[in-house]
This record gives sequence, C-alpha cells and structure tokens, in this order.
Amino acid sequence: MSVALRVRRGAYVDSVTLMRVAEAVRRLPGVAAGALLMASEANRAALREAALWTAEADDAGPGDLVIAVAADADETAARALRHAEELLAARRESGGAPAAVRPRSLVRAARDFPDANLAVISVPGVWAVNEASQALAAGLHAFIFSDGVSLEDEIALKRRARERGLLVMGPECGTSLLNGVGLGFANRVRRGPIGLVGASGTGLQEVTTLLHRLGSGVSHAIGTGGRDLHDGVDGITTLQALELLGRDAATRAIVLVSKPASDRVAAHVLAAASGIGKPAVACLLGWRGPTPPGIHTTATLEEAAAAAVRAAGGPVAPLPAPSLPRRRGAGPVVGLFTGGTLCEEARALVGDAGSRFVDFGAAEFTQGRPHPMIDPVLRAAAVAATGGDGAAGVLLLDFVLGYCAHPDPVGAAAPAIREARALAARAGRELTVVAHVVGTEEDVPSLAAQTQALHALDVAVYPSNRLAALAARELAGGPGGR
Amino acid sequence: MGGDTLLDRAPAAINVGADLFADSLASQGAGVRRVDWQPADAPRELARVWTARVETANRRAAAALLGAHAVLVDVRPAIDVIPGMTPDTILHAGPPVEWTRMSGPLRGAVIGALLLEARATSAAEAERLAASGAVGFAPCHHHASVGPMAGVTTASMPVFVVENRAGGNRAYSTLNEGLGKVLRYGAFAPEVLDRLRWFRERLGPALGEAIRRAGGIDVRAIIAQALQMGDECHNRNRAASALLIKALAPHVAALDLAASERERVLTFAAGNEHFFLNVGMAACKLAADAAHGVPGSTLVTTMARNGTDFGIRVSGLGDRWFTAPADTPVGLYFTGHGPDDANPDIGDSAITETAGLGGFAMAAAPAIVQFVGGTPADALATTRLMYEITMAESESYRVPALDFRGTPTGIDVRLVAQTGVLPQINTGIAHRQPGVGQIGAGLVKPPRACFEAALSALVRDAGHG
Repeated sequence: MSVALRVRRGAYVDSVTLMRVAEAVRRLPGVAAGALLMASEANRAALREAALWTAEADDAGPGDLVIAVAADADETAARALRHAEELLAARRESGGAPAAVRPRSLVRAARDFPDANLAVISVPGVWAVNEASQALAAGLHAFIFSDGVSLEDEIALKRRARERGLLVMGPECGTSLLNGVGLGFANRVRRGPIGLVGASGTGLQEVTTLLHRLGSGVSHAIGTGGRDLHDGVDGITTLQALELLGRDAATRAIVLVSKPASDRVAAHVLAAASGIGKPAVACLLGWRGPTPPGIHTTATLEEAAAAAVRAAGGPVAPLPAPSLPRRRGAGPVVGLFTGGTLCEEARALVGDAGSRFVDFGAAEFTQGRPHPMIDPVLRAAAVAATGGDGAAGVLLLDFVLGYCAHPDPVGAAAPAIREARALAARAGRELTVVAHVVGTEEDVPSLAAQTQALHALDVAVYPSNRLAALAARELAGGPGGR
Repeated sequence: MGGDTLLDRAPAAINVGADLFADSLASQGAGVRRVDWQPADAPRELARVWTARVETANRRAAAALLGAHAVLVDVRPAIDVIPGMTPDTILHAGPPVEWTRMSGPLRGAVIGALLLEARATSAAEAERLAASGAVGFAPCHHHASVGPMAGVTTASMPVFVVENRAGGNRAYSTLNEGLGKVLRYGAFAPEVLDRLRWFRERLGPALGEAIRRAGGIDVRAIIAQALQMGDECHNRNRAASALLIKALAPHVAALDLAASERERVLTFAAGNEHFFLNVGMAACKLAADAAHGVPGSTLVTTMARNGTDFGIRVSGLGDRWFTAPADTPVGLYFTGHGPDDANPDIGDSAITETAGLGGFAMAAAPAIVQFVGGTPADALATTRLMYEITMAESESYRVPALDFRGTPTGIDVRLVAQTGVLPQINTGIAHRQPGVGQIGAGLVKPPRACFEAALSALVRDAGHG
C-alpha cells in the first residue's frame, strides 16, 4: 500500500467541498482511502489513526489543507492527488440560474397569476373533476373542454360553483366568447349587442358567425356544456349565464341555443329567459313545448340569428347567394359533420329516411384522439369512402374555422373529396358535394379563402347550415332522397 | 369569497391540459398561464378536499405558522418547564416507537439518558430498565418539544425555552452538544455523560441567566439574518450560531462566575457550528404548534423520524401520526464511513423544513447542495420546487438569490398529492451502531405513503365535515 500526501499551506476550503472531493478520490480505481482535511489537531489525529499520515505533513497547522491518499501503487496515489487538486481548482459553471419553472398545479399557477379569473381545463375526465374543484376553491370560473366527466360530478361541480358565484362552462364545452376573447373553438366576430348562451359549441359558432355576417355582433357567448339542460343538472349554468347577460349593459338581446333538452328544464330555462326583460330568441333543437311570452323560438340556428338581429334593432344584411355545382348527381344525402349541433340540425331538415348522418365529434370517434375540428383524418377517410357508396348521391359537409380549429380544414378534406368523386365516376355515378363554412372573413384562414377553395373543388357552398341542408335535400330529389 | 362576475373584463386564464387552448388565448392577447400538468395518483380523493372549508382553515393555519414570533427567553431543566414531563419520562424524536423497534442510535441515547439520570449504573442495567416498561417513552412532539437526531430528553436536562410573542405558546429543545461522540447520535461514553453533566450544572444555568439578562433574544430576527448569510438553519447554522453567540456574549461576560467558567461557556458555544440548531428547531416547533389543530386544514405541522419510522401530522387531523419506514439519506460520508454504516433517517430536525427552512431554504445556502454533488443552480431549483407544495411564503425569512422572495412555507398535503413532489429535507447521517456518532450529511425525502395516508384521512374527514 502506498500513501501519498500533499499539504497546501493557508488554503482554506470549506468542509463540504472537501468531503465531496474526498468522495470522488475514493471512487478512483486502485484507491483504498482518501481524505481532504484542514490539519487541525483532531484531524491530524484522525489521519494518523487511518494510517494516512506521513512525516512531510508534520509541520502542517490548522490553516493548512492536507490531501492524503492510500492506493495500491505509488503511481495510482500520485494520480489520485492530482485528481483531487484538479477537482479543488475546477470552477464548475452552473450555466446560469434555471429558467422559472412552469407551475405544476392550478393552485400554484393561480397564486402566481392573481389576475386570472378562469381555468381552461382539457385533461381527461376524472382528472378534469379534480382540476375544476381546484379552480372553484381558488375562486376561478371553469371552462371544461374535457369529456368523460360523469353526470353526478357535473352536478356537484355546478352546484358548488353556483354557491360561490362562479360558472362551470362544461364539461364538453367547446366554445365561449367573453368580451371578445374566444375560449376553445371560437370565431373572430364583431362585438355587438347580442349575448348568447349555448349548450352547444357548434351551435354557438354558427349563430355568432351568422350574426357577424348579418351585420350585427356579439357581446358575449357563454357555453354551458352539452348536458346543462338535462334533468339533474337543471340548467344551472344556463340560468347563471342568463342572469349575467340580463345584467350586462352591452347586451340588448339574448339568444339561447341547445341540442335536445329535457322538456321540464327547457320550460324552466325559457321562463327564466322571458323574465329578464330583454328580447330573447331560443333555438332549442327538437323543442315542441309552449313558448312563454317574450320569447321568440326558432327551429334553426340561422333563423335564430336573424331574429336576434331584428330584436336588437339592427338591419339584417343579406347573406351571399350560393354557387351551384356544375356537376350534379342525385340520390340520398350523406352528411358527414365535425359539429354535433350542425349534424342534428341538418338531419332534422333533410329527414332520416334513406339519408345518413354522422357526427365525428361524438364520443365514439374522439376516444383517445383529438376533436375532428382539430384532426380531420377520420372524417376525410369517411368522405373518400362515400365515393364507393352506391347509396350516396349528395355529400353534405361542414367546415368550421376559427381559434383552435385545423389551420386549413378545406385543404385537409380536398384529397378525400377528389377521391370520392373519382370513385363515384368509376362506378358511373356523379357525386354532388354541398358544404357550409362556419367562419368570418376575419378568421384565419378566412371564410372567403376557404369558400374559394371549395368552389375550386366544384363544391356548392351555402351561407348557413340550414341553407346547405335544404339544398342537399333539394338536390337529392326531395325529402329523404329518391 | 365570491368569484368575479365573468363578464366584467377580458378573461385571463390558467390553462390545464392541451397547449392549443393556451396558444389560442395568447394569440388573442389574453393573459394565460400554463400548468405543467401530470396526472395525480388519486384524483377522485383529491377532488373532495379542494373546498371552501379547507381553504378557510388553511388560511387560518398558515397565518399562525407565518405569524409566529419566536423569542428565546430562558434555559431551564426539562422537568421544570416541559408540559407533562416526569422523572420517568423519556422523550425521543419522531413518531411513537416501542423499545424493541428502536434503532441503534436511539437505544444508545436512551441508555445514556438513564445513566445521566442515575436510573442505571451500567448500559446493561439501563437496557433492562428501558425494556421493563418502568420508563415512559413519548415523542418530543407530544410535549411541545423537538430534539435533533435521537432527540432524547429527560427530566434533568437543561432545555431552551422559546416563546411565541404572537401566540403565547412555548416550545423546548435540549442544548446542542457539538459534533463527534454525542448523546443525540447514541453515544454514552463517559466523556459524553461528563459533558451533559456540565450542561446541567454549569452551561444551562449560565445560558439561562445570560438570556434573562438580555431580556430574551429574538430568534426570528436571527434566522432572518442567517438566511442572508448563507445558512438554511438545518444543516448549516454557522451564521445563526455566530449571531446567537454575539447576542449572548456580553451577558455571559457579565455573569457572576469565575473567568474560567465564562471562558468555557463561550469557548464551547463558539466551537459548535450547530450551537443555534436546537434554538432554531424550537422556534420552528413553536410556529408549527401555533398552526396545529385547525379543523379541516391540510397543513403539515410535523415531519419527524425516530430512526425506524418517518411520521407526519396534519393540522386538521389532530394528534394522529401517518407513518412509514424511514428512508436512508443520500449524501457525503466522513472518512472511513459509507452508506452501509448509515442508520435510517432520524431526528425531529425536519421541523425546520416543516416551517419553511432547511431544504426549503436551500437557495439561501448553496454550499449545502454539494452534499449531493449539486450546484448553486440546483439549490435555487430545490427551493423553487418547494413553492409547488407549500401554501404560503414567509414574510420574515427571505432568500437574496430569489430577489428576497419569502421561503416556501407550509406544506399542503393536497399539493404533495397533486404534484407528486415530496418535501426536500437536509439532514445529518447517524451511524447505525449506538455511540459512533455522525458519519455524514445529505438529503432525504419523506416516504410518499405518509402523505397518501394523510390524504385519505382528510377525505374521510371532509365527508363528515
């Protein structure tokens, strides 16, 4: 065994650094023991006891650093000493302070950002409930895009929120537009006198964009989540939203939009809307009940938009005339939609018999993958397949523009449309394609650009979902096709 | 607390989930903060404890924790001041543990204390007595006390008395013995007991008199200064010890004692880099006790280890302990020792982290991170990470390197469960054999199971509340 030792006079090094270097030295191959100590009386004794002392350090004092190594050979020991000195001399760069970390919880983020007034939640169901609970505890409204939240959890969250004067928009809330800022899927629309409440995201998008195109504008659009008008939830968020819009000075008329709802809850909500004292228009798809005084009910979203513009006292600008397709076939309508409410509305207008409607936003298509407005792959495949479907005469499509949507929905569908046409042509058929684009000229890409792209594909473009559906029915040869 | 009315102003949002939504908000000029989200293990349980009741309780508890103003007022024999202390009581660190399950260092300290108290004349006799059930073991934490490492406290030992000027409660801790062969690491050799007898007969009374003459010493002020001088007041107490001795020295010099005695008192204090540790721990215990017992609160008021188990207690869950086997610290070892010699984590000193010091104040003491090969940047990152699991920031204790931001204070059981981040504890490492002493220092984390069990209890509690 070879012991080597070096004394560094007057070289104070703190004990933690010394321990760290000693640890590194002891890990070197061939090194049996290593110590770096200031040569105090106690440390000298410790080194002697460990047989790490040689005479050359006898005159070292408390202010001197002793580096001692025991190794299997002289050369190994010398190398270990050099290594220790290198480590002591090394200036380890930290690379600067680490960047501020992203907060790991909603609570933490809320503390860092006291300006926040809402949480946007898109994590999966059971975790969304936890995040929404945190949001409410932190005094934040919640916009919950997530699906997979149980009805029971939704009810509990909304009741708690109501107690605290907070809104839970969702779960499965696609759209809100608050003071001109879109949450989730939303379009760039003019600010104006009309406030909306909707248990339907695409319903809100269709009406807000139509209000814009009809020359009016939107104060706020509050999404409630698709089940808000179900029994059990009792329209909690809808009622809160109606109250907010009732008090909002910028809102002169109110539009209520929903997919089919519980009759009891719908009646309750309509009664509440009629009590606000502002003109109100309701488009509750499938609603057949009585209408309370002061409420104008409509069967379609486009009619709701037009009625609201009139109710707010504005002129109604005309919608552009559609471009009819050059090539026309006939036969049953196949409606392939990314927007659930648009799909429902079209189905109601065209009729079910012989026709086929698919909502690609339904849960069966969104398990583990993004919404079709973001990821158009599944619908594109279905579009292409229509060409080989002998029972398809008219293909009816929606394209939804705006925040969070695919950056070029028409472009993404174009190859599939061409393929469907080609397949149909090979079978000696002609496929008519009819579309509606939900958007405004201010959206990116713009309504005009997407419309032009559709024209280039020989697709007939109609200015509302209603008009597109009616045209499809007409082209098919009457209700339900021939 | 009512929310804002939603429509009063442009929305500003916290985004949890897909970046798409945050990107869209940012592109519209709306304020948005993104959460670095990871799925929590028990989302259903967690969802039930984010309630207004808990928030209110936590605000109360955190205010008591942060508001505590510790002043060192005396040194007195334990029997005179510690509530519930009897001649048969042996207080120890950590959660309750029976003799048969005690680790080596704790057993050694118990033997030493029985010898010191003249309850036994040999180690063998002391062990028989300890096993006989004739002495009463209890956690220091049950008696407003804390002790580093073994934490063994018995009737005649002098203890620091720290008083809360804001809340009126008191807390106690033994005098620190320095390094080497010491009782808190389980040593009970004659020189260990001789030193403790000198504590009892000379050092304790002298310090008590000096402190009384000084009219009390503001411990909170010392900690605040020490953090700006490179201490985190757990593993590093150099500055705090110097400040305490500075405050005491004139009053020690004025004592009616022989010059050699006064010299010995000051020499002992000056020669012990951890002279302040026990005082700081008592100050932290004082704050934690002030915050304990608020119904519904999810604030952690105790983290402590007895060398066998790690235990935590929670403000809203009374005196229940949530325990799991203690881990072994990761760190650097003194010459001649290694991880195989190490005892599992031991000591009440994690009370410093509980009160926002120690590992939580790592950014104030970059030298400490070298214990695990870290850099000053790691120290900053450690403290920053602890903000993720705490409910408040200290108003008194500030970190220069973080622009004098207050240290992260008040561990929230919910945030530990939500983020999966465990508290960072700085600690000494004891040899597993009694009497060998400290063999290193390093870092350790509490077992996750303690927090999981506490969360379940909080959920049950919420169900009844």
